Amino acid sequence: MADTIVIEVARYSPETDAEPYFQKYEVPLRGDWMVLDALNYIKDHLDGSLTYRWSCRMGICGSCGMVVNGYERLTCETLLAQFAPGPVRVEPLRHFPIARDLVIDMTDFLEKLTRVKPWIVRKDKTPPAREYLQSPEQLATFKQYSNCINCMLCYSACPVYGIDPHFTGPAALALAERYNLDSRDQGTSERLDILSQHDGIWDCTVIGECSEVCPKEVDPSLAIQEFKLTATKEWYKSFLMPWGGK
Amino acid sequence: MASYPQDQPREYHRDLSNWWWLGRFNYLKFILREFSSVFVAYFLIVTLAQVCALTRGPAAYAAFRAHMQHPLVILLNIVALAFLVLHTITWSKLVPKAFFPRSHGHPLPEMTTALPSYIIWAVATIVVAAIILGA
Amino acid sequence: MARRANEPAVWFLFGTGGFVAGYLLPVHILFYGILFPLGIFKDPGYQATLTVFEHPLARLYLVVLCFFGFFHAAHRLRLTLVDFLRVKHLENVLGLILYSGAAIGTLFAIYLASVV
Repeated sequence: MADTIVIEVARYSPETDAEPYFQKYEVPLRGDWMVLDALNYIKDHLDGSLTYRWSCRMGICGSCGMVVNGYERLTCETLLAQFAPGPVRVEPLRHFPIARDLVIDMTDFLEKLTRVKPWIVRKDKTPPAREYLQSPEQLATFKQYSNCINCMLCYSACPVYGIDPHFTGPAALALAERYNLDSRDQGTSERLDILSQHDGIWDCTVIGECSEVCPKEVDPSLAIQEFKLTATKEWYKSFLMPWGGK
Repeated sequence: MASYPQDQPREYHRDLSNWWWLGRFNYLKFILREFSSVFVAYFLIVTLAQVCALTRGPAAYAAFRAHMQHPLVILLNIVALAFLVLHTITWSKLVPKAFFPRSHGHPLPEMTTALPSYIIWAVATIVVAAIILGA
Repeated sequence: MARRANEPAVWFLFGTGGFVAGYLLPVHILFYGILFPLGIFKDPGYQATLTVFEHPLARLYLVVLCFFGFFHAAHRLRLTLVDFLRVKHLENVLGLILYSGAAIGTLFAIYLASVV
């Protein structure tokens, strides 16, 4: 194994640059380094101006999502040596505006996440006397979707989100379905009303790349198909039985 | 859709390329999979032509069969069959997943959700083939 | 309910059509499109095929196959062309053309089924 490897990092400074460009750095090639270690080496030793997000460095905070050699990865979980002899190209997540270097503006995602009401919605007038009970079987129905760490790799991988900014997107919809399936929640029809109105779910054409890149195996594509099934059942029910409540 | 604050430093907006579907093999596979629907429509039209010929008498049906024997038509039908098989396999791997109750905290193996669909496909094929041949 | 109120209706047709066409159409292509024309299997001939088609269930089969199959293809093509050609603004026009085509195909199937 060689001693060093070249990293090509996307740079963009809003004060001085008209558009992004790539800058090359040569970093040590250590067998146990992740791409994030290489970025930290650049910032510590070569170029302190490099700007990027990271935090836990163990694949749970969702901060360090970037595009490495064309594919969405968490850089803290992406082994550097697999790309030897290199170069390794590191770019910001797609389909979001670039704020600086590898940092994207995630306002649209946060707005969509809030829009789906990712919390327990109850119709109770007063708080309950004790906590809501839930069996392990009830938990198992939505547990997979609750693993989302909001890293936005799925938004970068989804061409539909790139084509149509109105699309709610994989992670927000997976989290909406997580709450729809939660036995303690009573907010399914509220979420349906919201999401049917804004091209929320119907833009999805089951490309499936979101589920391919998800580092926590959430399978947002499946969540969206389930959501479509729920929406269709409710639509036919309201059409055929308009007197039904809820 | 978010409206980004006006006083923010100039962010760089990247537009999706018109050739996005060539950018990744999975995207190309997706487009091919979706265009199988063209061949669905194609052979449904052929089937309607076949039935139309049936209703017009033996001479019309013989003409239909003659058309079907043209080498280019046979080639087109082989391509159509390939796309239909692609459709049914990818459909079986994806769609039935949504019908399995979510009683697991983790994903089900792919074959578990696809196998019932393959079995139905096999049974339907055998039954229809028997009717077509036994005719 | 909403702006895209009709989407669940066509989506249901698309979904059912995916199953119907996926399970039934391959064997049709295999025999009528490849094996019979190539002579690998002997074509049962005009009279035998007509007898099969005259059965009420066969005529219902044709209508069901065409109805769900055409709407499946129309819906899928509409969404794919919008993404492929980046023509979101033409989506409604495309939808109108494609779903009308599917309706016409279905009506023709119903007509043929009734003519026998």
